[in-house]
Order: sequence, then structure tokens, then C-alpha cells
Amino acid sequence: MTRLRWIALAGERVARRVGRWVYDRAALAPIFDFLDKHKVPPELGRTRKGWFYVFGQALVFVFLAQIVTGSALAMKYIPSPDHAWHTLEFLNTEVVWGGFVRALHFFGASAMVLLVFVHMSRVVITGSYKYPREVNWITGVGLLVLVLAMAFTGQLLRWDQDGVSTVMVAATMLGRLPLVGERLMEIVLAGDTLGGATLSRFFALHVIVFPLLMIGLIGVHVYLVVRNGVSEPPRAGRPVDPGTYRMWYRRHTEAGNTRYWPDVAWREFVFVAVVYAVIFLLAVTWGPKGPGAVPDPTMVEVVPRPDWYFLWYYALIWYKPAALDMVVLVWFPLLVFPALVLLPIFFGRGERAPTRRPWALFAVAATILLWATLTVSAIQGDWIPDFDTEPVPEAVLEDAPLGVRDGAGLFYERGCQYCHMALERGGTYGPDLTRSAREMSRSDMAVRIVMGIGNMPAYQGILEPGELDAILDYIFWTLGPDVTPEGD
Amino acid sequence: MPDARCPEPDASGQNRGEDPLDDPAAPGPGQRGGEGSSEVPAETHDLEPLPELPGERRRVLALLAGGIGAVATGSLIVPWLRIFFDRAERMDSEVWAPVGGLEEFAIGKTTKVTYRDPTPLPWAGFVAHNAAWVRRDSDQEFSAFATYCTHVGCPIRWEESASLFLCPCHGGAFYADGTVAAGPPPRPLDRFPIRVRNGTVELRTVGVPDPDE
Ligand code: FES
Repeated sequence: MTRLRWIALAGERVARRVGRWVYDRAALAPIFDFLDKHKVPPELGRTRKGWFYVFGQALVFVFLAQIVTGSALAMKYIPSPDHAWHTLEFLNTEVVWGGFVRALHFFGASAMVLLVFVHMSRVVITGSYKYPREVNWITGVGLLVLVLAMAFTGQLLRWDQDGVSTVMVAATMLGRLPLVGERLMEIVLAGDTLGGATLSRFFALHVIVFPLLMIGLIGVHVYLVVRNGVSEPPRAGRPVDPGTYRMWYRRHTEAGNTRYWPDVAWREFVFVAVVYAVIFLLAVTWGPKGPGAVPDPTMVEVVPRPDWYFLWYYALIWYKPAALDMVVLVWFPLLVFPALVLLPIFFGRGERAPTRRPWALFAVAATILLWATLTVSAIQGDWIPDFDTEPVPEAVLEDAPLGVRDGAGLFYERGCQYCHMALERGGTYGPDLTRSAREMSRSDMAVRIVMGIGNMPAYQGILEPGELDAILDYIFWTLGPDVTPEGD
Repeated sequence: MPDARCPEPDASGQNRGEDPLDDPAAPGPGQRGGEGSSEVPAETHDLEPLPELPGERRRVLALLAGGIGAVATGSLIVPWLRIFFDRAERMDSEVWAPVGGLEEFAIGKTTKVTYRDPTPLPWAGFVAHNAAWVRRDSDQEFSAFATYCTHVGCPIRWEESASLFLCPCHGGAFYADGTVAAGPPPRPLDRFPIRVRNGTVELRTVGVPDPDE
């Protein structure tokens, strides 16, 4: 007993000494001192508003998690166009926990994208980008770009059919830029075409260049948050005046006597725990994402699709009117980020309260709404031809006249059914023709088929003589025997 | 803590001037807390403050250090950029790739052909393979189309019975001659040069086709 006690005491003494030594030689004093003394606006620690100020910390922690999972994956991944796909498959099937870590990395990436937008929305709504935090915001915009670049290159490193299509889509889009387009396309592909050098470059960017830039920018961002202080929750009628703000802020936090650690930090860490838990849960239940089909540039029967974070853009480039082609593809991405950078320069003072800045609320709400609408419509993909549609079963056509039977066959064969429904069967790109037949005369429809209209190709040179009639017979037969089409 | 002890003042004044620990105005390292503050030799505190280096000289020294930094950075960034902008794979625009015998193509039909990039990197593997749509317009006349949609580059497929190229991304459609039939594509399908030599159909591959050609 005394012997044990003696060992315990000696151990404690050694531990203390080691601790003191590290504390002194690693110069931890200023850090502990800082954590001990750093004051933040009292609202964050003493009211529930603190919950709106946890997203930045969560981003830092998810980023750290991405480094951990990503570096583990890099130990198995081979960035060779011939091997990349197979190494991912190997991770999924052979490596213990390989698929799980891939899943963690994917859902971590999703969390990053999501949290970046949540964090940014909070900053916009509370006007936190205003004086003196302009550079916080600008580094934040840089980080937004980098997070999106990481998401993009990450999806590409999956190197399945979608990943390879993504490279081609990116290259083609850049290729459409005026003047520099062609050169940019070559840079993306590292040559004239998709080739042996393309993947390595994206690997280097995703694994080394972008993460290093992110670490640098996160450093500056966090440093500035510390130096400028967390922005206090705004109150209507308390505008930011650059002449007095810093002084006012110091007094506000001094008097508030609320310290970062742990008065406020606990909320951040609870939130981080929730985020981690969600990522783990999703990873366990959904497993790794892909890789999809083995990539093969000679395979054309594929429907490429970006990951969820870029679906909105995929839909946007469909929705835009043709005249806005260049605007959406070129000027929109080119101008959005400079505009964001300039936001605090032009709107850097005055009211911060959302009630006094309804446009900020509106901008955030509109962005979310637009994003959701575009994403949903991209998931539905109404404009995508239904390549898997099946011909009408014989049974349905049992007592139809011969011409109608021919028409039904042609309706499928000639591709009408890829885009049009009849009898509730077919694609959704064009109108449902059973419905159209109710409102349109046979001759009107004939003209549309032959001449084309809008997104309807002209079938003039495609249909053989007599086929038009058969197809029309079928379409109008689908109305049912009792319905007499209007205007006929 | 022997390493924290101030060094013995050197005989030469210059050497002394470069050591910040000689500055009596600055607190000794031991005074920043931690153990052993009593170990600081008393004599450092007895020194007269040294004059600052002449301003002119400090400016020159700052320029020197800054210049070295700039040159060093530049000498690393330039090669980085050189590698980043390197076009690892160049297409030899004179190379014609055979894609099949004349008899393999029926007149009026569109067929998918595959070919290997003429000068692929040895490790390119499957990405060195590419496809094109080849249509035999008449006995000796052929058209060759890229398999990439002119909208944003998704792979297009030929639907034989519908006589249309269809794009799966945003519903773009092209007629058999490559002109736009529907959807967002802004211009006809890109074409490759194609010819018939000694009964063999040959394609000139130009990478991702240049829209201006
Ligand atoms: S890529 Fe073909 S329609 Fe958009």
C-alpha cells in the first residue's frame, strides 16, 4: 500500500515536471493566457444567439477530419488513369474500413459545402462582413472558392464515368470562354485531350495545392476573427461607425465579461459533435459513394451527373434561355466571386440588424430557394430523354386498328417516346401528347412534327411516307374511343 | 535552464549589437515567467543602451533581405508555373488514325468508331482510346463527328431509328448531319477531318475539337 502510494506520488511529481517543462519550452503560456482571458460579446455566451455562431468552428473541425480521412485514402489511391478506379474499388471491397473511410470523406465533403453556405448566410444576415471585418469576409470568399474547388476535384478523382465526364464538361465550358478559352481547356486537360497527364494534375491540386492554400487562408481567417473579435449580434438602431466601432466593441466585450473558453466554446464543441455524429451515421448507413461505371471515353451510353453540390448548376445551364448562354456559362461564374469580394468594400458600414437590412434576408432566402428549386429539378431531370422507356405492350393495343398499332411502334422507334408521353408512358421533356391531342387539331400537330418547334426537332427528313399518319393515328387513338378532339 | 542564460558579452561591439539579449531595455528571457529568473546575470542590466544601427544601413539591409526573399520565391514559382502550364500531350495534327475498312460502313448509316490517340503517354491506358461518330454520306464521302455535345460536352449518342443524336445532359439533339435539332447546344457538332485511303477510312484526331475549325 505505501509502496503503491509512493509510486503514485513519484509519478505525479514526474508528470508535473514534464508538464511544466513543456509549458515553458513550448511557450504555451501566451496560448493558455489567451484562452483564459479572451473575451467575446456577452450575447454569445449568455443568450441562445450563441448557437448562430458555431458554424465556423465546425468547418475547421470537418476540414481537419477531411485531412485525416483524405490522407488515409491517399495511401491506397493511385492517380493513374488506368488504375485510379481500381484502387477505389479495392478500397471498397478489400481494405478493412476502406469503404467506411471513403464514405466519411464523401459525407465530410458534403458537410463542408453545406456548412460553408450556412456560415456565409449567417454572416450575410448579421452583416458581420462590415467594418472592421472586411478581410475576414474576403478570406472567407477565398475559402468558399477553395471548398467548391475541392468538391469539384474530389468528384473527379472518383474517376468513374461521371468523373471523366466532369473533366470533359469543365474543359468544354472553359473552352467556350472568349480568347483564353482554348488555352484554359488545354491547361485543364494537360494537353489537347483527356490523356495520361490529366488525372495527376487534379490529384496534385486536390491533395496538395488546394489544402495548403486552405490551411493558409483558414489561418488568416481565424487570426482575424481573434484580432477583430467575433462580431456581436446586431441590434437595430446600432449602426457600425468606423470612427467609434472598435472602441465601442472593446468596451462592450470588456463589460460583458464573457470569455471564449469555455463560456462560448462549449456550444461550438457540442455542434461539432453533432456534425461528426451525422457524418458517421450517414457513412455507416449509406456507405461509400461510387465509384460508378468503369470510365471509358469510348462509351457514349452514359448519363453523366454531377454530385449533389453541383446539380443546381447542371440545372441552371439547362434553364437559361439560349440568349443568356454566355452570361450563365461565362460571366456569371466570372463575376459572382469578384462581386462577393467587393461587397464589404461598398457596404462596409451602417446598420447590421437584419430587420433594417431586409435585402440581406431576401438575398439569402432567394439563394436558398433558387438552389433548392434548381437542385430538385435537376434530380427530376424532366428535360433528359427517357432512354429506358419501353414500347407499349401488345395487350394494350389488342383491339386497336392496324394503323394505330403501326403508329404505336413508330412512336417508340422514331424516338417520340423518349421525350413525350402517350398513355402515361414516355419521357417528360416535351408535352404529354395524349393531353395535347385533346387541345390541338390533328393538322396542327402534324405541322409541329414535320417542321419542328422550339425544342421539337423537325421530323421532315426522318419519317418515311405514311409514318406521320400512323403516328398521328396512334396519338389520337390514345384519347380513347369516346373523346372527340376539339377543333377537328 | 542553461540555454536561457545570457551569453557573455563579446569584446567586439558589433557582435554585441546584434544580440538582442544585450539590450538592457528588453526584459531578460527569465523574466517572462517560468523558472529561473534569478539566473539572469546581473551584468547585462548594467550595460549602457547601444545606439541603433544607422537608418540608411537598416534600409539597405531590409532591401537586401526582401530582395533575396522575392528572388527565391520567384525562382520557385516560375518553374512551378512552367510545369503547371505544360501541355503534356500534344496531338500531331498530321496523324491519321485508321478506323475501319470501307466495307464496314453502310451508305447513309452512322456508326461509332473507336481509335487510339496517336501519341498517348505510355500510362494513359483506356483514356487514350476515343470515339467518334462516322457517317457514310455516299460511296466515297464520309462525315466524322465528335461524341461531345457542343453545349457543355456531355457524350452524345446516335439513335438510329430516330435519326437523331441525343444528349443526356440537357436534352440537346442534333440531326444526322450534325446540325442542332433541339435544346441548348449553340452550334453543330464538331467534325473531324476524314478521308478514304486504299479502302481504309481514316480520321484525323485533333483532341477535343476546336470550335473554330
Ligand atoms: S451538354 Fe448536351 S445539352 Fe447540355
